[in-house]
Amino acid sequence: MEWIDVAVLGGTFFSLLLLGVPVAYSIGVSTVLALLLSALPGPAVTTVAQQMATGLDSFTLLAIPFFVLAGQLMNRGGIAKRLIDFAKSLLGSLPGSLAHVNILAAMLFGAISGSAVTAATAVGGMMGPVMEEEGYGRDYAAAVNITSSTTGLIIPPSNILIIYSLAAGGVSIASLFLAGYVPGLLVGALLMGVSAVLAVRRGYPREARTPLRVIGRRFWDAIPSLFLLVVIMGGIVGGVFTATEAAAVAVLYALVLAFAYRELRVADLPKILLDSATTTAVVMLLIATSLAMSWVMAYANVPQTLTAALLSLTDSPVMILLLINVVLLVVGTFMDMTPAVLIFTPLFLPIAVDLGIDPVHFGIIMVLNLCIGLCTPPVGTILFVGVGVANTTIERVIRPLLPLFVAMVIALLVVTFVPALSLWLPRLFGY
Amino acid sequence: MPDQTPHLLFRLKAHVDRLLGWFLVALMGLAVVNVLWQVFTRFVLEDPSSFTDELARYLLIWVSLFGAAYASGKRAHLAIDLVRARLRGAAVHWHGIAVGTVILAFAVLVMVVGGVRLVSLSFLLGQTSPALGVPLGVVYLALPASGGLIAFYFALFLTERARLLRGRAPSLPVLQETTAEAYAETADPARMVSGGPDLTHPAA
Repeated sequence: MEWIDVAVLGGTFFSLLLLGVPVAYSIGVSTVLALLLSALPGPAVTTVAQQMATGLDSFTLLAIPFFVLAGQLMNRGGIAKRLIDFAKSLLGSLPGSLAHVNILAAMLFGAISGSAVTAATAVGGMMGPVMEEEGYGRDYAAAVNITSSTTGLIIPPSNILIIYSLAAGGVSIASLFLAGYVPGLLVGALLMGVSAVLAVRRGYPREARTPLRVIGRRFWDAIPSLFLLVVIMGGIVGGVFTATEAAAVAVLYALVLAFAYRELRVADLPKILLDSATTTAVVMLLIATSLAMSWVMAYANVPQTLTAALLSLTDSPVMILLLINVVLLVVGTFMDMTPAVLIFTPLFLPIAVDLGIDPVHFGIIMVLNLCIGLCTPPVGTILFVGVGVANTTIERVIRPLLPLFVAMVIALLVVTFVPALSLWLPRLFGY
Repeated sequence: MPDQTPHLLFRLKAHVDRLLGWFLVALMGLAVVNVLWQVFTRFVLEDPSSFTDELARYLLIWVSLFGAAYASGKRAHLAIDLVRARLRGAAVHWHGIAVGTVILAFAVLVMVVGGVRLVSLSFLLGQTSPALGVPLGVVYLALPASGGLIAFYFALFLTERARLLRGRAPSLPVLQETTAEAYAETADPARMVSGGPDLTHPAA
């Protein structure tokens, strides 16, 4: 490996990022400059162009725009509202009830829509004002919404696990999806635990217990929305659909449901399609340039050198996993999740496999780790969205976020060192 | 006459935005229908379609690249604003020119020049797709086309910065990359529900 390659790559990337060049372009420009060290200008730009175009040439990646589209349809189609009502009837009588409702609704909606941004927007937009009215404080409500929205990235279906599957060279998506359930529920449970402690301490109100009859009716209302999960996961795990086909079916299902609930008109569709295409394209440009960067790194033998360097440092799996986790936590604070997964999976996965860690387990560690980065400044997509939806500022949510961060880091450590949490369910289904 | 040239360019942006927007709507709609057709032919007709997988992949390339151009026109690609937030006056415009030049250079040198080289290489090698028989060069054409559109948008943004530096009145609604506040605004459920004028106006 030429250290100069890495220095140029990293140096250019960070300088451009700090200057305020969009992340995707920062990655692209630094990739070209690094390649120019060893290639002529003509072939260098052609290679990057080719890596970008062929990187997008993937049937699996098409699941991403479809899940985004389905999420937007659900957001508009009254599905989020029904899930919140159901969560409220179920958890209303716990201390700090509304925080729990937010967390459970974010888990349900995040899972169904496969997008943390959609969950933070839909659930936070509805729960935030209610929580503020009940005296939770706007900043705390935002903090709960921000952290709980990330659970949807681990609980399947999940776009980022699809991206990981691509970066890891075709790890089974069904297996990754199944592996996400227990860790995702663990994060949700720990967040609820923190919220409960805070609620008792601060004396947040609890609602009256909901009669069983009402819970039943709310559940009945939510069934069509929840059934979507059964269709998607059943289809993928049962080997009936690919993830992309399942996502297309989810679009159709959400469309039918939104029309059935009379929340959507045909005239709304072009706008929704365009919004989904734009959201998707922002992610896809990141994917295209990240794949080119990852290729250049492989070309410069970075993964091999890094593996050797790390293994010469220590050969204790525990230390190396901790080291990888610390690096990823730092990376996650300034890098968006998608490029982080695409660039760091090829770097770290070989080491992990060397140590006998299952690629499925490693994927869950990586995504859970980067979820924390999504909620931290300076670059935290979910933090930005959650703060914006709640109409507060990043400075003000940091303090209420801290105890929730602790819960997420504990979840990360548990998931890292107890492989069974991730691997039990996929094994049960024979993966 | 000096004021009329930019004015015309910005009207042009509105037209390009609208055409590109409808093109994306069509690509996205077609992508969904195409994969649903794949499911339908396999389960209902029990005669799997031969072309849907390939078409889906090519549609994704097109949606991604043309969408990336559209998003660039709306400045929707996420960036950090640590530097810009600390700048005042003319420095803001010089900073905007620096960032815009980097993006313009990438669009022209990598996406257009590299893309054209890639397209001509594909034609030279006579690469065609197995199922649809489409030359791969046509599929890859999305790269230089998207690069050209991004270059067009950023030429406009740089012109606007230069105009503002000379003390002219602003004529473009969106000049900065998406940041925390702007990102949340686009994700605001109230705004999403009310429906936007995105398809008809340059940038709301």
